[in-house]
Amino acid sequence: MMDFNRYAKLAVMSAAALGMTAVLTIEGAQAYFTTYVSAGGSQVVNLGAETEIHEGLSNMTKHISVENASAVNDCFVRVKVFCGNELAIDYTEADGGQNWYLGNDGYWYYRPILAAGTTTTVLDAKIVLPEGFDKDNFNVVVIQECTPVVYDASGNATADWTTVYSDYQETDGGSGADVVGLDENAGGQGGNAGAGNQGEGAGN
Amino acid sequence: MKQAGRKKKASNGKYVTYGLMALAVLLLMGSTIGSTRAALTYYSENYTAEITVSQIGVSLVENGEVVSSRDYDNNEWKVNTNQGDESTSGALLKNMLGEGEKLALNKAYEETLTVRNSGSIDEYVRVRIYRYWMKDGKKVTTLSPDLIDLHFVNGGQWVRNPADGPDGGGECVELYYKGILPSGAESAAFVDFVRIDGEVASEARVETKGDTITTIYKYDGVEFHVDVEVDAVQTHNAQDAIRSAWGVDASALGIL
Repeated sequence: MMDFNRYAKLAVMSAAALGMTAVLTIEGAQAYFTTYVSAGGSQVVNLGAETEIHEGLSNMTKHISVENASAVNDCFVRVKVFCGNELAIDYTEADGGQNWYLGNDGYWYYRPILAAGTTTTVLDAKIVLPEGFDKDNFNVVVIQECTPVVYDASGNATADWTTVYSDYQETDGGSGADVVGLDENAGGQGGNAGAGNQGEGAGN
Repeated sequence: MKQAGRKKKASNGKYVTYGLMALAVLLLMGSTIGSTRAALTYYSENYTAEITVSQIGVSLVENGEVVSSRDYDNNEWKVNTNQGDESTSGALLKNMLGEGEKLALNKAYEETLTVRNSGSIDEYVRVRIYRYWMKDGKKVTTLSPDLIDLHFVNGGQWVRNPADGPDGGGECVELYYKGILPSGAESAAFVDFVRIDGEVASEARVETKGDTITTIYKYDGVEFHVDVEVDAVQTHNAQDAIRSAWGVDASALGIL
């Protein structure tokens, strides 16, 4: 009985000692006033472009317009007409506007931002044949390119046509010179624009 | 006689034990009281102050509006965010884009971030800014965080942690406010705009189908994230308090 008492007391004392030391520790940790706040946010970067060229043909004139078929993204577009040296091409805007302008590089640039789902005004390219030219056998090829809307240092929307994409799909075999919009399209367009063959009066 | 002697011996042993116990209790009590008293003396200024005004608090301010705050008031922490009561963390970039507006590359969007001392004691302040890319709930580690161009300003007032390196680039940027941010005051901005570098659009694949050209970007639909943490600490015993809270040598950083 006495032994039990003694051990009980010892145990109580040890517990008390532990408790007291613990209190001391807590005190130390609470010594400094601190506080904090946090906040976070995010936004989505939507990229991607889909443009579609529309070509009509009448009276030796190609009616060129480009549609932005993307659901979300705006872009800038430009077109270029390729043809033989013998041919001359007269450009006019169908509605007499000032939306297209000719760059030094031979491209016709569409000035405004082409919003998603909209189409450019029509650029007419009248093909002038020299005298005695074989009307049945020539091609006029139109290519189109687009580039995303970016901003310059002063916050104005611009088109950066110098962007060179690094192709991320090895299998695509894209050459290093894969410029915006890609000339591959010229091939695709070529078949199409071959309908520039006026002699056949292709209903293109 | 023999018996009595043993009894005496036994009771002697008991006395010794009790005596030692009493001594131990006294010693323990003594040590406790001693350090309590010491602590009280040491922090008496703070304790006295706490009754009336010693309430630390800090707020993160984005474009002039408080995004999140945590202030000690009437013996409890008052947390306010622009996300409602349930959230302990505020929302940034909420009003970056207008209704229906799409994020444009290379465009500088206003994002003025400051810290306000919303408590009633002065404090030292530190911010940590995390920026990273996410897609489909996963972190995109192939895109550089530097493409999330947070424009850090007032470098003289906001000192970078030298451990971050000379550019201080990377995912986390740590800035220490130089000097004391007095109660009620607002710091100079540490960021003034955010811009997404057009380089994010540099990897693309072009597909042509008939008259349609489709450009597919590798990083279409990627999200940029900006998280900000603000820490504040008391100005009393600043050197020790800052070392304890942030683990850095405040005087070596030159922010005291």
